[in-house]
Amino acid sequence: MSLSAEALTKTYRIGRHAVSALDGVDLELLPGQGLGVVGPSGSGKSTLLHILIRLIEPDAGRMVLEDAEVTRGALRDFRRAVQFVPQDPASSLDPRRSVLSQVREPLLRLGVTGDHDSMVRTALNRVGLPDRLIAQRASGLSGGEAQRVAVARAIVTAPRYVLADEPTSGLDAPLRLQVLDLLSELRAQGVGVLLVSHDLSGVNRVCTYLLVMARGRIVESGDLTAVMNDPQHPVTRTLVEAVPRIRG
Amino acid sequence: MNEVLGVHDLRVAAGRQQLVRGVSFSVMEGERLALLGASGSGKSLTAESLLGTLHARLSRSGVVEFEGVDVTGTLPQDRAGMAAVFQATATALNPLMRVGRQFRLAGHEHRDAAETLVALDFDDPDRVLASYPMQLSGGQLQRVCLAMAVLRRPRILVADEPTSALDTVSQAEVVRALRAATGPGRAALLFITHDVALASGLCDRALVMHEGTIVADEDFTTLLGRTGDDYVSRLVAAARAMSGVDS
Repeated sequence: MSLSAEALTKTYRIGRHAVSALDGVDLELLPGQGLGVVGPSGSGKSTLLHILIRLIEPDAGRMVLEDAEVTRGALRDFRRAVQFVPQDPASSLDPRRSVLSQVREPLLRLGVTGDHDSMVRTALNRVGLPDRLIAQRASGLSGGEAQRVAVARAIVTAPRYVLADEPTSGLDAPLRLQVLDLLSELRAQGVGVLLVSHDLSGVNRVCTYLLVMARGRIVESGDLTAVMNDPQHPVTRTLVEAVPRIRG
Repeated sequence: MNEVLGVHDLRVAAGRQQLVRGVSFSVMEGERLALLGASGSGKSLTAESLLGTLHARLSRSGVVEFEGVDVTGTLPQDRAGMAAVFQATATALNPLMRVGRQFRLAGHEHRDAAETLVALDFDDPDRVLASYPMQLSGGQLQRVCLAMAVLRRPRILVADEPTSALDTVSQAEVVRALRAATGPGRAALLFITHDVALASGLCDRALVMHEGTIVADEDFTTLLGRTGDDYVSRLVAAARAMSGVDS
């Protein structure tokens, strides 16, 4: 049981120029595992994530979800099992629509049967949002509430894997902590969480295994604490040194 | 030490909604002061009030003094001793013009621009000056903006979330450049950010804004020693929990 990718490759072509964004990336995400993918800007993290959630197709390589190869035509079951938390809830939520309608949307689109209102309430409760917000428009939410709604929308279909793209970017420290602890709770409930970030301190709070990317390749991987304490690759060392530390 | 900037009972409102509610503080010569707070706490409206760039539809009261002179209500171009850098570098530079030409249009010689870029940690200033903005990374663009600000020889630099859109490696580069550009004998710095850890490595003193008011104004050592259940203590505790990976 896992979500895995083998030898993913992606090249972007701009006119006569070819830019290799992913160059043979393998990974495996297990249920209940926290897997951090870190790297500097331009290292291929976002391309990897967009392929993993099948927003874009790789040029080569394959993905396997629990022994079945993921193919372009059969994504409904894949999307019930694999969900996504975007970077910026302000642009991923429609400010004019209610929390209920936005968290319910995946249930409708993926043809999930059952009591949708009850499923929405359960998802909102799991992310610590009160029922009273259910009828509120997204425009009236704080940054932290909006990001938790985005997480609720991702988990309403009871996915087995959640992939998050810099989900705390732009939030202040208390809100970052809330969102990261929420992802940790999902892990504790058996959900595999892949967290893409440039921020090692946030990854450290959710994940136990780390992949470090540079120029479209995985340049270092292993147990997070071990990698952090003894980084081998220059990119990993630069990332570790760049983590802001509070003095005292 | 003399006061560079004094803000007295600053208030900003949108109609009946008070957004900044009586903010007062001062910045001394060469001081690096952090203005901390969550999104929506009023930090950027405060910065815009200092720089004279507040949206005309917002109402403002209170006094802003620059080197002892009341500059409230003057135009941004009349506040020559102030310079600013912002989060969005992409809109600060002309994407269709080489960086060097943008320095020249701002009245700066190639040699002065190159020397300033070197002081801000660029190894190859000539390559930067020959580049278009899209050929530089986010952190490099922010340091180019900082170089343009520094060449104006400001007495105070207002940096409004200059690192918020950057990855941690670029953030560290920009913080190093801000440290090189400001401090005793150079410009004072008002560093506006929601990142307590980043600010604690750069600034000596911090203001914390919450819901339009200043709820803390103290040196960083005192701030980081806070314990309790108030907003500032919770902000510090969360920043500590998120800070470093070996603590």
